Amino acid sequence: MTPHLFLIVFLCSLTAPVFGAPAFAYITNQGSNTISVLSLESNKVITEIPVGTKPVGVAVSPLAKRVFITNVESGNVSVIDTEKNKVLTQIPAGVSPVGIATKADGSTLFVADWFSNRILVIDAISGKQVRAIEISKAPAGLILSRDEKVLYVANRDSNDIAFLDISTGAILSRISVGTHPFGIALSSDGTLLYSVNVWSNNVSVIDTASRKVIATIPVGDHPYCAALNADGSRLYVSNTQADTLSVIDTASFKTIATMDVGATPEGVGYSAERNQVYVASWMENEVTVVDAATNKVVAHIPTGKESRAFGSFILENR
Amino acid sequence: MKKLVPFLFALLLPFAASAHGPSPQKVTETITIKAPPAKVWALLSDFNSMPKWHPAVKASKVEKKGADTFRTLTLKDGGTIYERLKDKNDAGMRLKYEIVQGVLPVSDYYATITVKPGANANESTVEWMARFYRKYKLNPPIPAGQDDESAIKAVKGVFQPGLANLKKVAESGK
Repeated sequence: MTPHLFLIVFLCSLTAPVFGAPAFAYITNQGSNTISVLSLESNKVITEIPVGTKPVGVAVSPLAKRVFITNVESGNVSVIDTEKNKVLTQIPAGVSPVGIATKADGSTLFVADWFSNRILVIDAISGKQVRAIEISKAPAGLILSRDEKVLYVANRDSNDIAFLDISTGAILSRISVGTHPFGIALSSDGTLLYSVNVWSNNVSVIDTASRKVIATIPVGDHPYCAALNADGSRLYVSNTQADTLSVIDTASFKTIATMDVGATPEGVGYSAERNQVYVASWMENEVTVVDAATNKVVAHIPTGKESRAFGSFILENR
Repeated sequence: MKKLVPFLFALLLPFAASAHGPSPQKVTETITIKAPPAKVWALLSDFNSMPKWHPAVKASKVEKKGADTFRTLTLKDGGTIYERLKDKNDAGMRLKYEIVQGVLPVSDYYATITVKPGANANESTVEWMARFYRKYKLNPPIPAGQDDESAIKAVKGVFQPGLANLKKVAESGK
């Protein structure tokens, strides 16, 4: 797509009706090389989209009506049009892309290239790699700061979170967290960053202004990913080897509920429109839906094989 | 030549990428047994009982270290596997354990074995599931026998004959 055409699409998207547009969860299925598109209205998978080999990471841009998928074994990113739910194109993205983040307008992608220890910056419009930044070992989860100036990177094998200045490529800070940080979550006001540490079975809470760890919260066995609710008062953490979801009160940094979900829960997403939490289950090939008001499981939705949904995978209008 | 370079690169890419990938592997095997779930669970729930039903396991030795329970399995071919019990759920009839070290070409291996009610009261379904990575987790070249395929083959080689013999033992009434 030319930049000019993209601008038109972008402007149209701004004038399109905001409410009533369908809301979806995009679930990467590592074992079937597809994306299950789950309708949040019907709680059913409405289509399976074939993508590259071993899809893992996902990043949504409601504004651009795009979803970006990393395919770790085919070394590319599949770009999905969320109106048609079809792949538009596949962009080369290093050797083993895992984590992915997008600017809100869908113009620029950040991809964690696991084995090459680099962050790739990709122009989503031209599909060209703009930059490759050396980072620590085995970069995994990525999130952009709310002002989109800093990229937060979980470096699994060096046990730190890097703050990356995306305009210069400079590493502003490296913050030591628990062992094997993988998924990360950011509060909606951008002040608190949560690092989920797989081997130390805990979550490190980082104050993004002081760049210090201000709390460490114990969770379940081999935690992987996390998501926050709309006002940031609750943090949901998937515990892959306990087969549970931890609910943490972020005022006290204490676990207030733990519930059984589909086995080997990985990606966690939150829907503000429905006040529900969606958890991808790798072992059960499903998405477990949890009502955030009652902390009860309300649905088990079958998906493709080995569902992971690593990143932001809920597409809705608020 | 300028046009040729990206073309050549595109040719190389799938080969360079196919051997990569920090992808966890899964093996799931199930079997239907004509015996009540409680009877099958009685066989499986004892962490030290594997020689009673697994044809490849010659001996099992359980030891406690603090709150943790471990077992050393000695295989008929002489190799050993050292495992930790992660969880035993009697209500859900599910055992969860991990390999600490052993002869299987896997890493970060954990498994669950679950007994579920079958079609009638005298029938059970046993499901054995594992998640693991290949033994060699770094960049290629991958040493022979340490790739994804070898890991999956080894785990299936434990699960399939194990479940087949579990069925025999549980149905024989011993």
